Amino acid sequence: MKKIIILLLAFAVSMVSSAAQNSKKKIYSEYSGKPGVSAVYISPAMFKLMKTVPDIEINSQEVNFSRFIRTLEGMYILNTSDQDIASRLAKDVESELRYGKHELLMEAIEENQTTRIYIVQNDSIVSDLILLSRDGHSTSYISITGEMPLDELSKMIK
Amino acid sequence: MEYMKDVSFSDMEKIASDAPDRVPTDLESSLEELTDSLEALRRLNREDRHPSVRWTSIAAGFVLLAGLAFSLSNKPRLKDTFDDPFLAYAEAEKALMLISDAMSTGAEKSNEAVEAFETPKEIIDKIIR
Repeated sequence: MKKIIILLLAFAVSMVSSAAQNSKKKIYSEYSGKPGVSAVYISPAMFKLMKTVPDIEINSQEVNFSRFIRTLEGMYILNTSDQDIASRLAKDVESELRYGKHELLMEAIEENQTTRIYIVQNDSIVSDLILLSRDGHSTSYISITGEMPLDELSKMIK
Repeated sequence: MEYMKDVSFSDMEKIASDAPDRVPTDLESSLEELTDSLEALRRLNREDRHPSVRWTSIAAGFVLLAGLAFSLSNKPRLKDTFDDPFLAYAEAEKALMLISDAMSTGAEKSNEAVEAFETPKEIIDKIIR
């Protein structure tokens, strides 16, 4: 009987963690392909392939992202200016954040634009980062997963 | 060992058959005890495995399999937006630039807040001194 309970508990834990990963995919699948929504998905396999790309240094850039990019494993981007879709997308992302393990890293409010960055952090490693930016009629959502060192993330501040 | 040379093979056989067997006297009772305890254990196992326990195990197995099948079928399969890693790299960099801008704005705002806090603090310090 004990074995059954342990097995069921292990199964429940694995289901919860895979559900967290699936929620991003679910959001992305729901909104990508809709009119007025631009969507980008970069898979873990593509990130592995990108590690073979030589460092690209752009002089005009103040921050060099090449080291940071090599720590990433997946990226979802959704952007829309359709007011109805934008508000639904923001609500879905906020509910994902409510039930997940994310904590608010920072919030910037400028005029009518609110940008929030949430992270999941284990010691000095950030495993998940979500940016949600909203203004009156548009929403931008960027979600990245990987093993991002916190000090590399702080270097992104200009 | 010298005397062994004078003993024939048939004599050796005779000596061996005459030697008493060294069987422990309590062997029989020990074996009986062992078979009794084995039988008791077998009976106990049979009684423990109640049909409801057996059915619970089967049901738990089915739940696990069904859950696994559901989670696998429910996993949306996504297609990469880019086939070219260079283009994917450029897009990732663009996204990171947006994150960097947002973080820089946040840091700037907090610096402004610290500066705004410092001014009244300086005035209060001057008044106190």
